[in-house]
Amino acid sequence: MADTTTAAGTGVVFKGRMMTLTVLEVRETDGSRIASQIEAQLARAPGFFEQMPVLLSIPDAVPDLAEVSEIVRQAGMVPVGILDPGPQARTAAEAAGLGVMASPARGGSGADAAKTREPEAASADADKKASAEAQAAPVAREEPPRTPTRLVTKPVRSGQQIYARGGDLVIATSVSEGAEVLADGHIHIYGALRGRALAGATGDTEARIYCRRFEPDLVAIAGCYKVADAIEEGVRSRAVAVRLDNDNLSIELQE
Amino acid sequence: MAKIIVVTSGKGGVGKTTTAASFAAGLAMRGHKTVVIDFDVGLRNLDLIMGCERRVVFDFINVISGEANLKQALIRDKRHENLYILAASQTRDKDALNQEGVERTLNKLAEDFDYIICDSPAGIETGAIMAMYYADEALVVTNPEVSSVRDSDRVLGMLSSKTKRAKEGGEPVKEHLVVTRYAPNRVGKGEMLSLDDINDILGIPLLGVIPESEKVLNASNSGMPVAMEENADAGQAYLDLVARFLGENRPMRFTEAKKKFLDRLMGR
Repeated sequence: MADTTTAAGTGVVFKGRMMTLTVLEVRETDGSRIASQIEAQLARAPGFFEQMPVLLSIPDAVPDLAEVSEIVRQAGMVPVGILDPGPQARTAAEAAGLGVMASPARGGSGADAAKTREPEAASADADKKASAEAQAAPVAREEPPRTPTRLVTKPVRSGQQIYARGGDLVIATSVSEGAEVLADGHIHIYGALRGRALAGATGDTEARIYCRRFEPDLVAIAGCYKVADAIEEGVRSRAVAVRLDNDNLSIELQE
Repeated sequence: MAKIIVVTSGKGGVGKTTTAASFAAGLAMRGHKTVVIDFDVGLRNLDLIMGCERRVVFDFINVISGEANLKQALIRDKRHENLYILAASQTRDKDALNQEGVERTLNKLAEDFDYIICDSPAGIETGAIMAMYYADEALVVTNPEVSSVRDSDRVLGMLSSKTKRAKEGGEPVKEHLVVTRYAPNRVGKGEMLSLDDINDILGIPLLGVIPESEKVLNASNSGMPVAMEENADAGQAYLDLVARFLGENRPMRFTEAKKKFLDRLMGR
C-alpha cells in the first residue's frame, strides 16, 4: 500500500547497519593447502559455516583472489568482500564483483584507507547523477542485509543438524526423530516433524514454527521450549503453528 | 563395471550378515560373478554363515596390508562357482582398515566381478564408514521395531553425507530397504511396526521383506546362506529380493498374516 513514506519518493532507503562479519585470513599461498585447511576447520563444526558470509583478507599478489573465493564457495561459505586489499587484489575484487572494505582500525588514517575510498569517489565523479547505487556498490557494508532462506529438500535423518543462520529454514520433507533443525528466523516443515525444531535460535521472539505433521521430540522459540511429554495430545500428528505468546509456547491447529 | 553394494543397518543383530550372504548367494545363483566381503574386522561372522570358516587362510586385512594377494585370500564357495568370500580378520581391529587399502582392493576386485557386496559391521564408526564409503547402492536392513528403524535412519543420513558419492557430489548412493524378521501376525497385534510405519519414517523404496523364520537360524548354524534353502520361506523371500534388485517385478510375499482356518472358511 502506498503510505506516506513511499509517496514521498523514498521507496528505496539506504541504511547503515553495524554487523559482525567473519574475516577469513589467508596466510597460505597454495590453493590446495588452503582448501584442505579450510575443510579441516569446517569439519570441527559441521554446518556452522554453511552459507556464512565471510570477508577475505589475503596477501596482495598471491594467492589469486578468484581462486580463493572459489575455494570458499566450494566450502559452503559466501565470500562478500575483501579486507584492506593491495592494488592487485583490489582489481581482482572489482572484476569478481566483491566488495572492498577497510578495517576500522586503519580506516581513520593511512594511505590504505585513502585508497579504499578512491573508487567510490571516482565513480561518483564519473557519473554525477548516479545515484546511490554507484556509490554504494564498492562498499559491501552499505548493502541491505539479506540472508536467503535455506531450503532443504532431502529428508533430515536422525543425528543430522541443520542450522539456517540469520534467516528462515524451509524443510520440504520430514525431520526424523533424533534430528535437529534450527533457524534464527522461522521454520517451515512440509512433512512430519519428529525430531527437534528450534526457531529464533538467536533470540527472535517473533519467530514461528509451521509444520504439517507435528510429532516432535522438542520445539523451542527463542529459548523457550516444550518437550514431547509437555505437549497436549490434541495437536499430535496434526498440522500446527507454534508461536511465542508472553513467554509461553502456543501451539495452534492449522487445519 | 562392477557394482559395489553395502549391506548396512546401524544396529547390530538385525540380519546384516544373513542378508549379505543370501543376497550374494542369490546373485551368484542368477549367474553373476559375486564376491562378499566381511568388513566386521575383529568380529568376523560371514565365513561361518557361508560355511567356509575352516578354509580361511588369508583375510581382507592381510590383503590391505600387502601380506597376501587377492588370489590367495579369496575363498570360492563350494556350492556356486560364481560366489567368492573375502573373510575379515578375527585378530585385528577396525583401525587396521584404511581407505587407500580398501579402495585398492575394491578396484582390483572390480576388474573380475559383477557385484561386490560389503557386509558392514554394526555401529557408525570406522568399520561401518569404510564399508559404505565406495558403495554405489545400499541395502539398509531394518527390523520392525523402533530402535532399529531409528538407527537405520541415522545410517541413511550417513549414506547421503559420508560416502564418496556424497562427497564428490555425483549421483547419490541408491538406497533400498530390507525389512527382516517380519512377523505379520505380531504386526496385526500391534507388537511390531508395520511396513507402512517403517515407510513413513524412512521413506525409501522397499526391496524385500524377509519373514521371521526358524529356517534362518538353522541355515546359519549349518553354514548355508538361507537363500540356498529352496523350501524355506525366508530363502524364497531373499530370492524374490534378488530378482527385484535385478529389475524383475515380483509381488511382496509373507507380508500378510495367515488367516485362521475358520476365517478362511467364512470368507473373511
